[in-house]
Amino acid sequence: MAERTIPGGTTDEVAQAEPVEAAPLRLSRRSRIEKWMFLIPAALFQLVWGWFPLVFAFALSFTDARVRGPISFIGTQSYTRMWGDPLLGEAFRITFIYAAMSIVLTFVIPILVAILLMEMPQRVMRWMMLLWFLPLSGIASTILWKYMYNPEYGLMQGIVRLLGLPEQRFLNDPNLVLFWLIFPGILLFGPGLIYMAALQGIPSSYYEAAEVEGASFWRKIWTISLPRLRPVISMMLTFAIIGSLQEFYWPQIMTNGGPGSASRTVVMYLYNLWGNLRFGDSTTVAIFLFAIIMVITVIYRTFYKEDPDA
Amino acid sequence: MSLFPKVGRNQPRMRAAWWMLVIFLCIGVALHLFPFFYMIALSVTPAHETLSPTPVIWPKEPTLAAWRLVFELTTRSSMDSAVRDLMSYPFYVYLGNSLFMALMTLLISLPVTSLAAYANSKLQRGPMARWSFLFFIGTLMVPGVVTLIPSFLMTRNFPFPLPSAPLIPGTDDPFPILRIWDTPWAVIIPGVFNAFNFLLFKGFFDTIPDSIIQAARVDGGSEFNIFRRIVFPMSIPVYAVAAWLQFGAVWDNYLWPLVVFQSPDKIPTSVAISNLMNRFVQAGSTSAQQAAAQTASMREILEAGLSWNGLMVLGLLQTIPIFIMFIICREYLMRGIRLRGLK
Amino acid sequence: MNKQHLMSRRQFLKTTLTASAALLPATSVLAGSASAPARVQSEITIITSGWPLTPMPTAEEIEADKARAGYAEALQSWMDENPGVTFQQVEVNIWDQQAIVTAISGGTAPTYVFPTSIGGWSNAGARNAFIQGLMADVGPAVEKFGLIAKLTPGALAGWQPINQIEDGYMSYPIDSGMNVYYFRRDLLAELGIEEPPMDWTWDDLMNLAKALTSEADGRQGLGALVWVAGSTINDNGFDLLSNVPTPQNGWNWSKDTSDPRWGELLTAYRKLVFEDKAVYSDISYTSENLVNAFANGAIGMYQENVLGAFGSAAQEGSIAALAQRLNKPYEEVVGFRGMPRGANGYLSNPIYVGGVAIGPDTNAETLDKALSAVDYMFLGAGWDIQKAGQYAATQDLKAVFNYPLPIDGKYTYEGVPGAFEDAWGQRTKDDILYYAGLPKAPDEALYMPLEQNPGPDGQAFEDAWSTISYVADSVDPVAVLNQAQDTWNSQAAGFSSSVDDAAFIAGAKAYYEALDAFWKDASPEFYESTFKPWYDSKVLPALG
Repeated sequence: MAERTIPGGTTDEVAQAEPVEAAPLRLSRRSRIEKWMFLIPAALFQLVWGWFPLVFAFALSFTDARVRGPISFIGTQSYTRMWGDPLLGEAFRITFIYAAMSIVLTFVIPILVAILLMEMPQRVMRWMMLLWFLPLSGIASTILWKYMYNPEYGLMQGIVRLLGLPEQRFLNDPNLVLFWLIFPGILLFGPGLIYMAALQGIPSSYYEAAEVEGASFWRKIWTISLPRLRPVISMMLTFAIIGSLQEFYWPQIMTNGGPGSASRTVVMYLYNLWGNLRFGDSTTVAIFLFAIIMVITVIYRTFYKEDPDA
Repeated sequence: MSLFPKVGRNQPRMRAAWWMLVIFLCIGVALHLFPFFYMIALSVTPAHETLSPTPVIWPKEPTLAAWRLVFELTTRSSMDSAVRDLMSYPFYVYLGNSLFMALMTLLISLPVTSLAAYANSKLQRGPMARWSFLFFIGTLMVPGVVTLIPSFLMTRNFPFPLPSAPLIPGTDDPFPILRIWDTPWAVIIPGVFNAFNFLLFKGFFDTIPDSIIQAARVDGGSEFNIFRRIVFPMSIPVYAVAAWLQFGAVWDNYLWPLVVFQSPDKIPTSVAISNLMNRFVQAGSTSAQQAAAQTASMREILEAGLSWNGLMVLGLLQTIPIFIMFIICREYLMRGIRLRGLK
Repeated sequence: MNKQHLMSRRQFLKTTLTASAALLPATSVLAGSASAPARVQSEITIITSGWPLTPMPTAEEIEADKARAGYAEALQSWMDENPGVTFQQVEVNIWDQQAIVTAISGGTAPTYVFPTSIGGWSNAGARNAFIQGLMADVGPAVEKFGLIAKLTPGALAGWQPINQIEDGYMSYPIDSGMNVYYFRRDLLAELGIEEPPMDWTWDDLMNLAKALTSEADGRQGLGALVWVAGSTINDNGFDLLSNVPTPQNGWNWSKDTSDPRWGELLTAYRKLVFEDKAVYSDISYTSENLVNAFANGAIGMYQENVLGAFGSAAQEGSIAALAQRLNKPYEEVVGFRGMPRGANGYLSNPIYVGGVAIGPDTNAETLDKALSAVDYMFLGAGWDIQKAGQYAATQDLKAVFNYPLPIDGKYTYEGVPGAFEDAWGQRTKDDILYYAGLPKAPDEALYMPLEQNPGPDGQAFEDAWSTISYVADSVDPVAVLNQAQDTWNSQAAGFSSSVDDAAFIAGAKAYYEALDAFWKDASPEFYESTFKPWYDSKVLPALG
């Protein structure tokens, strides 16, 4: 692989790079053609296999969609029905709480871990990466954590007793079940790999320059590592938002939505509807969710400045 | 070692901070590794010990019986009919299918997705860029089950998401259709554009200062050459991560290959293994009837002697190729570090 | 089999060599419909996923395994009578609802499908799926093979109400089971506890649970999953008494949980769980946890499908293995009790009959042959041949007699020396047959006009059982139940019935009159104390 040094010479010049993206992009005609050539294959696949089935499915929410047999148009009946469904409202409430908690608790640590891991000597880094990002069977995790949370003989209860705290009901407690479902994710460092990949691109000259100016350990992280990571953080946060609002597998296996409906997310309710062969209703719920996720994503991306040079 | 100051590195406070860092990372590793270790421990536990209410950290009498059973299962060398019934073909058939689909998807998907992400990041501006972005990742905002049936029908009668092709208006003939159902292409083609990888690449390309690209343009050359000579070498680590993630996704994909394949010799390992595992793990039956009906499908497995230990072996088998892929990708990830260290 | 291996290896090589080749999909361009290609008239292919029948075993397999030989012999004798029929095995997971419903949507479902999984694991769901056309009507086969005469009265009572839909039938029966409570008879004997009577009540059950609980021995009396909370009141008639016909609404039913009795019963159950600590229950448990706990003596009894208790002792963790480990005859270790009676005299018979359904795209000839094979192999001579083969292979009566409730009532098989009672004990057989023989209330499906539209599901009440079972603090069962009622009713407001009011009222009247006659006879106690007052005050006024 050919080495490329960053053109531009001194660190100062590079650090003061481009002003905010107000500068309009003027592409030559040839470049414009190339731009479209880059975009079109992906756009085609996304259109055909991504949007087309989606729009088709969404159209079905205006019918009493059946797998077989005649489909009749029922207009917005499904919408009014699901809008008035108390269980759906509850599912949305749970989902928002879950997503917020999940992002607050599990988003920051992988970033920190990746930054710190970059400080290790190479050999250590290789081993750490190997051990830390080991891919895992979901089923093993579920068995393990079901055991950990058992109120009689689980490890967590053991720790609680050791600390002298009152006995916990863990997943059986409707007020805390969401926290306990998220807790194992706090120890999940997988996304750190992506931050590590991005951290490669920060030249060490930046850090050296900062050190010359007397920056401390934490200050260097705050002024160099994190800002340069902004686009990646923004991207991961986008994905975290989209993903956590659609949480399904973990609560389904651990608590099946219980106790009561305390851990039933919107997607879990959607699957229930699908399971009752109410396809129209399940698509309606998907549309509600889609709209909400879209709105949240657009708002968030409008306000979060992701240009690292800003 | 950029964060720690060069001067004063050996001072006690520095060293203390350093070691605290190391300890924190080690605890994290241990906690993260525990489920993996647990899988291995369970896989060598004799069946009756797996039944005890308190799980074992390490079995009192480790045995390779489960490994042997799974070996017989996967090579179809067992004489027991119950065991033979569980998998119709020897394991290498499934392995070959999985490998073909995963590698082929990577081959096509990585260029397509990354170039589009590059264009969106560096060649588009303003509202157009934002709309394109939403266009490309919007489909992430809907759970897959919603489009399951329409997508499936499209693999049967492309491009119509219908059970059979409609008639050409005015004639009695149905439209011509393309059928990729029951072929590996039914998994590969829908996977060509990967929205998550698009997000990943875009996020990374956004970190590259525009000045670099502008400078290269001044030097002349097509956009593609700029990408090839400047951006791509810088992006090897991200490609490594994207490749690994997508490999894992295709390899572990269960439901889509399950519905899209029918011939027993075409299914990937994820389906072959998960078919067994899922019968064992009941996602919380809500009714006596459900539990009763699930007993019926579990009996088959239990009669073959397969229990949690065997399932763990199967789980490990499923995980190992992803692990190998990770080791390969880690090399490319490390390359970026080496490059950087030389600056 | 070798030939198949060779083919697959060739295919394997072929696919890997073409890995770097062209991007042209290797597809078939069809200008035609999506269903199976045209076949020669006399050739019929039955497509199976491996259940309930597999294609003819190969010579190699027959050589290796005598049980296989029995199956092969049985299947062969059927095929001799039915030339021109082949079985083809495909890889479709008929147990996974998403997989099978998707396959049906595209016309790629196998011939044999499992009705309950299609319907989302409930009887009502399965019926709904049938009405939507997701399964073929097996009526012609029912008639042709004289099914109804072959079934025992109990099996018929379990099969017909669920499977008969207007003039058609949903599935062809092959086995049956029911939920019972297993209990450790040897523990009772050891502790000097008297066995509860056959017609035990919930009070008996709770006392037994308390008696079996011993903190010192690390044992709890009752193992329970989430629906047992519902059982406490369903066994007192909740299912029946909480559904009130309301023809004036769009959806003709509504829920009424106002009877104070329900709250009392649920409170008593919660006391058993949280104060007496006699119940082994946690939100993350599945059936398997209970099976393990029972086998290890961590619980004294639990509710489970009776089928789970019958299997070879060689299978680790099975109940038979437990008896073997304790070195006692089976009937002295495990006892069975059915659903407890209500304090008001309500009784129920939870027998169900499992069957095989046929994929909707199957043509009439294939359906006929497919079910002829099923009928022969499960209800005809083929069954005995298979069992004889299984006995020859295993010499294990327990493995052979693994169905305690045969739908044709046969407890002996030709070619097998011995009977069901020799394997499991006469007492076991008698106990199970007692509960299977209890009167079964008439099912509304036989009287009411068919409902074509979907309605609200039971989620609201499942949530209630979950809250009542697992949440320790500050739960008022009455409030929880009423909230479930309100949620359900508010959901029902969004649905409308396909049945017009007049037809509904006529059907409902017939149904309740049948119920009236039934309860008068089956349980005068329930009739006098509960049913009649409820019928007079809630139902009759509603039906006008």
